[in-house]
Amino acid sequence: MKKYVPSIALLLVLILALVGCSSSKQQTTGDQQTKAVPEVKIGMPYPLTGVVAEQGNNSVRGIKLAMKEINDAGGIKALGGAKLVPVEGDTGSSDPAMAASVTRRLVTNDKVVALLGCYASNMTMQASTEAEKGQVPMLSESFTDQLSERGYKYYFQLPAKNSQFGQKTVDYVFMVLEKEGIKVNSVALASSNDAAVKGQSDAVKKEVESRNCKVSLDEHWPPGSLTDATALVTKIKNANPDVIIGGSLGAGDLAVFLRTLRASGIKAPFFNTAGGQFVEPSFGESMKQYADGSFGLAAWNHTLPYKGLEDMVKKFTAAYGVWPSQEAGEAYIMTYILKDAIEKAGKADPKAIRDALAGYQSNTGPAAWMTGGGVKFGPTGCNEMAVPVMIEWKDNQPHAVWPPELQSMQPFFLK
Amino acid sequence: MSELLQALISGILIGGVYGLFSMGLTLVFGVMKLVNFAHGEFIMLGMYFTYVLYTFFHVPLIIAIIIVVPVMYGIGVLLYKGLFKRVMGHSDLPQIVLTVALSLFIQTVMMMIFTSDMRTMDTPYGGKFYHLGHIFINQAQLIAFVVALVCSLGLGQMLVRTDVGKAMRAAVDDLEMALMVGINSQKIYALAVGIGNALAGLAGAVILLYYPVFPTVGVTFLCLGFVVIVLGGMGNITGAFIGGLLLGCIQQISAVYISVDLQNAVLFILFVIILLVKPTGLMGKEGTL
Repeated sequence: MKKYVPSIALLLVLILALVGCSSSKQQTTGDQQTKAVPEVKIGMPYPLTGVVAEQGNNSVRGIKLAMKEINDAGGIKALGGAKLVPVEGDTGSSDPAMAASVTRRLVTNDKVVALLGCYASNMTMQASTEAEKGQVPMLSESFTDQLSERGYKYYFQLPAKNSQFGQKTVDYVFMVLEKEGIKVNSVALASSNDAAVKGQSDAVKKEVESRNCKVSLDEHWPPGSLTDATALVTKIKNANPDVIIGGSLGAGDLAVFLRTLRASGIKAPFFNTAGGQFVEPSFGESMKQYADGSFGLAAWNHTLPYKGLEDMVKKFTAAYGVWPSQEAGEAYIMTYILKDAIEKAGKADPKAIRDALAGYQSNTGPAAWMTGGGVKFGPTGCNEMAVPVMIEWKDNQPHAVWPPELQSMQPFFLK
Repeated sequence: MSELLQALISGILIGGVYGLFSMGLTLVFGVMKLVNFAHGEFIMLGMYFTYVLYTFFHVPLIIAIIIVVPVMYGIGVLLYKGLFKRVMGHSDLPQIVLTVALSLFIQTVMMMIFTSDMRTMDTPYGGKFYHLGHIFINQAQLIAFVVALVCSLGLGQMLVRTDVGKAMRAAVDDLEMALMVGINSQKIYALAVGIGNALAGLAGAVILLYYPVFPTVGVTFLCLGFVVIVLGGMGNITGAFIGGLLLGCIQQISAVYISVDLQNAVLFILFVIILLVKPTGLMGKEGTL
C-alpha cells in the first residue's frame, strides 16, 4: 500500500490543480462580461410556495413585466441591447436557510449579476448575507430595520424602514380622523401576539397613551388560532372604542375578526398594523364588503397619483387579470432601477452595478412612482425618499388616502 | 350576564362543529387504533371541494355539501386500501410517520393547485347575524351547528341500530372475538376510515360557511380535535360530540373572562390535566364507540 501513497498524492495534487484552473477560468469569464453580451442574468430568490407564495409570485410578476418592457424596448443599450433574463429560485416560505442556499446557487452556479428579492424579511436577511459574500448587489422590498443596519455594501432597499411605519401609524390615524372632525378618546387594540405585530401594537399603545387617549381594550391572540371572534368582538362592543387598531399575520384571523366585527354592527374605523396579507388582492376578494372602511399602512399602492402609473397598472392587469399589489409594484420599480444601474455601469459586472446603485438617485421613470416621488439610496442602502402610505379598502381595492399629497381617494367612514 | 350567555351560545354553536370533525378522528382511533395526523387536511379538502363546487360549478350549497360527503368517503376507503392497511398491526411509529407525511403531501398539493391565497365562499349565510337584545348569533354558525347535530345523532343511531354499526362496535370491543364470529375486519376498517373522512369533509364544508380556506387551515382544527377526543374519551363517539361542545364553551368563556390570547392555553392545560387525572376522558372507559 505504502508504495502507492506518493502516486495517490500526486494524483490528488493534479486533480486539485485542474479544479483550481477550471474555477479560475470561470471567474475570469465572469469578470470579462463587458460590452455586447447577449443577456444579463438577474436572480429572483422569492417564496414561490408556502404561506407567502402569493406575495412571492406577485413580485415575480412585477419583475417579469418590467423585464419584458425593457427587452421589447431594445434591452440594455450600454451592453449592445443585451436582454434581461430572470432566473427564479424558490425559497419556500418557512425556512430562511433555504433562502440562503437558493441565493448561493443563483450567485455561484447561475452567475447572476444582481438579485431582486425576497419579500419576506427573514428570507431577505439570509439571502442578502449570501449576496454580500458573493459581492452581488441585491435590491429588496423588505423593510425590517436590521436589514439596513449591518453595514452591508451590496444591499439596497426600496421601502421605508419598519420603524418609520411604526411611528407613522398613530400619526396618520389621528391626522385622518381629526381632519374628518372625529375626536379620538379611546382606542381598542386587537392583534395577534407574534413578535412583530405585538411589538407594533405595544408601540402604538405607548404613542396613544402619550396623547392622553385611553386604551380601552388590549387583546392579543396567537396567529392562526382565532377560529371564532365572537368573544373578542363582545369585548370590543363593551369597550365602545372610537378606533380599533390591530391586525394579524394569521391567514384566517383577520378575515374572521373583521367579518364578525362588522356583522355585529360595530362601525368604529379599523386600522391594520400587520401589513402582509391585508394589502393583497386575495384579501379583498375573500372579504368583499367586509373589507370596506378598513385602513392600513403600505409601502406602495397602485392608486398613487403619479403620472404614468395608471398605464403600468393597466398593463399589469391585462397581463395577470388582477391589479398590482404592493410588492408587485415595488418589484417592477426595482427592475427599472436595476436597468438604470446596469446602463450606468456599462458592463454586466456585479461590482460595477453595485457602485452605480450606491449613488443612485432618480425622480423620473418608474422610480418616480415610489412614495416620496423618487428613489435615493443612502449610505445604509435605504431609499431615503420613501414614506409609508395609508390605504383604505373600497370595492375590493386598497386606495391611497394619506398623506394628502399621495391621496387617490378621500377617506370615508362607516355610518 | 349577557356576556356569559353570548359566550355560551357561541361556544355551543362552534363546539358542535368541533364535535363533528372530532367524531371522525375518534372513530378511526377507536376502530383501528390509528392516530390520524392527516385528519385536519381532510377537513381542508372538504372545504376546498365545497368551494370549487359552489364557486366554479355553481352547484347549490346544499347539493355541494351532499356531494362532498360520498367523495370524501371514497377517498377515505382508497386511502385505507392503498396506505393505512400497510401500517396496521405495526407499532405506532410507522402510523405516525405515514399520516404526518400524508398531511404534508396534501398541504403541498393544495398549495400548488390553489396557492396560499385565503378563499371564502360568498353565500347568503356568511355575513348574516341574528340580534337578540345584546346577543348576536352568526347564521352560518347556526346552520353548521344544526348539520353537526343531525349528523352526530344519525351516526349514533347507525352504530346502535344497523348491522354494520354493531359490527364496528364489536370490532372495537374485542377484535379477536369479532373475527371469530365472522366479522370482516378489513371491511370494517375501510368503513371506519371512509366515515371518518366523510365527517371531516362534512365539517369542512360547514366550517367554510364562516371561516376562510387555505392550504394550512387543517392544522388549527386538528389541534382542537385532539383536545376534544381526549376530553370526551379516545374512541368514544358521543364523548367526542359532548367534548366538542365543552371545548367550544370553555374557549369562549376563557376568552371573555380571562383573555383572548389565553383561550387555547386554557384548553391545553385542561388537556394535560385530563391525561393525568382521567386518561380515558370524561365520558368513561376506553374502547367503546
